[in-house]
Amino acid sequence: MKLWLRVRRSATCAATALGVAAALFLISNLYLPLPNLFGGAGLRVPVALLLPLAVAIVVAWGLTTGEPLLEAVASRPLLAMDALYAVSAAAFTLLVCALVQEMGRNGLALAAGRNALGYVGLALIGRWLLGSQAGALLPTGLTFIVSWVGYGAGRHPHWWAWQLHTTADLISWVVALWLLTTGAAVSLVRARYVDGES
Amino acid sequence: MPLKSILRISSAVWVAPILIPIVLYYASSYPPATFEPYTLALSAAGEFTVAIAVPVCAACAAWEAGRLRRAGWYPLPHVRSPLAIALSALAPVVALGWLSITIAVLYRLLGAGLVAVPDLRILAVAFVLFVAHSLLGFAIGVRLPPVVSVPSVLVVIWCWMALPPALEPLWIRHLTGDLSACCDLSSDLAPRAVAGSVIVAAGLGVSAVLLVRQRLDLLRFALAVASVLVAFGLGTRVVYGMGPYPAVPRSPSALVCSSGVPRVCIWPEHRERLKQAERIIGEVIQRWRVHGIRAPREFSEQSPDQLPSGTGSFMITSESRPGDIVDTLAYGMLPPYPACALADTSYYTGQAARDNAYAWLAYTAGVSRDRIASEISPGALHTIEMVRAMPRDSQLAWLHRNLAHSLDCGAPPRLGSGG
Repeated sequence: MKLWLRVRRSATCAATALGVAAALFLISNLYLPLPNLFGGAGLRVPVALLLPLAVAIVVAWGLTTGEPLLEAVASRPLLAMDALYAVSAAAFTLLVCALVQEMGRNGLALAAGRNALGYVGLALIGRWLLGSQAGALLPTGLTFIVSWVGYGAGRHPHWWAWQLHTTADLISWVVALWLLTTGAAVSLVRARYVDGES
Repeated sequence: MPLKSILRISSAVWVAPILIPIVLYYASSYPPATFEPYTLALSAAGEFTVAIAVPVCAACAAWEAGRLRRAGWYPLPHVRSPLAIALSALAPVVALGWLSITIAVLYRLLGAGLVAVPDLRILAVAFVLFVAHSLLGFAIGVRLPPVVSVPSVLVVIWCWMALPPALEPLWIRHLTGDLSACCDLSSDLAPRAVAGSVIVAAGLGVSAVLLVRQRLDLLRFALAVASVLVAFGLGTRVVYGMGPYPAVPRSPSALVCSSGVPRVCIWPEHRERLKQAERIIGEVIQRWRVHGIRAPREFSEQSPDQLPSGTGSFMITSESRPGDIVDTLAYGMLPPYPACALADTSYYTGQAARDNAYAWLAYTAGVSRDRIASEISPGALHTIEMVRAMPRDSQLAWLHRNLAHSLDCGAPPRLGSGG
């Protein structure tokens, strides 16, 4: 178990989650200024909502660092353990983000925690769809595109741009949880091919 | 690499059908610094999309490096240098990025009805950005697995390209190579902004060249870090103190001037309106002369703060009607705002006098009463209608008094009951 946790880079993942929390603690109002193509005032994409991508990247990385051929014949249920590891990493990030929010240091910290759920879910889905080396591209690429096109004329995010909403939006929580659940579910299915790399 | 292989395996080919439409869409929607047919401003507006294309190309470069890394081929001995290998793998990526920006710029120019060569300085800066950031992406890609390098490069370079405009001091934004805020007709691209961007990009490029070596030792890594730090230091030194716009006053040598009296000079983008402007200005000067106003013998479209002394100012656009030109002539006869009106040093009390003088000059130049009421104030119209009933010399004395008062600064009004 210890070896498995080490191979999955669990320590790096925990440090990344804590780093995200520390960054949220330090930056309260940092945003990316982007022009609004749909008219009205320019957009302000909070950096806080992008930070949890780091956790999704580290989780996706950890899931590539094993020896796929050996793991394919392991007696332990490694696929289920991997899914549990990813969900735990997302939940831990949500927890530390919630603590930052509770301390009143960043009003978007809880939304960042919610995004960690969605990003990790997307990374798991990306792994399943695109291969393990391209897994983290799905949350990153989607967020990159959604940041440019996800706002309407009044600077309000569209309902489908779940990662840009504040914590008050219920749909964004439902979508993030649904992505994490779906990602965990598809992780239980072994990929048709293996392409791991340490 | 043979073209057939490039088309089969390069990530640039896969990304192109997504990137180019997005870049075109953005380039067509982003407002240029001026809506006049100014090649520089339109090129700069098209170049805005480097904030999208550079991170994507850097991520593609990381992917290309990851391909070589995963194949176990990169660490093997090679006849070619690592830089040659990197450039060979990156050529399609850089070509995609630069092509997308060039297409965006051409699209902007053609959309404005201009069949012209884009501003080559803008395209050159974009090229340097693509080469440097792609090399950096490649250098990271040979050290880290694609699952980490590709998304990290995408997000980090995106933040680097997009974040500085939100930061202060304002000059930080001139280090990224985003020149999209350049330029209205009376301004030109600031060489300092170009130099700052190129120096930082070159520093990143040099650092990447050091990092793409097959074996990385501590000295090389230290040199790579040092090159980035030195580039940022030099770049900062170059752009330090600049304002939010990468612009400098445009050279007056570009002005197109008439040969008659009054001599009228306008920017070449308005060349076809020179005769009309000359005629309108001549008529206004005649009207002012009847009222005893001495107008300058030369008028220029240059920015008022760049005008030589004794030259009058006016503004013209492609959409200007004759009334608009007359209006700007009257405004150009006013003295510049005093320092107190532009800063919070003291309270500006001369606005009413300024409005009165402006209204009188506009009225006597031939601007309609309705326009004065709507654009200056109904009160100013009422005032000058009374003044116009006075003898000519009294009117002139009144005008000069108002012009002098328009420079007044005083104490701010005391609000509230306290004190």
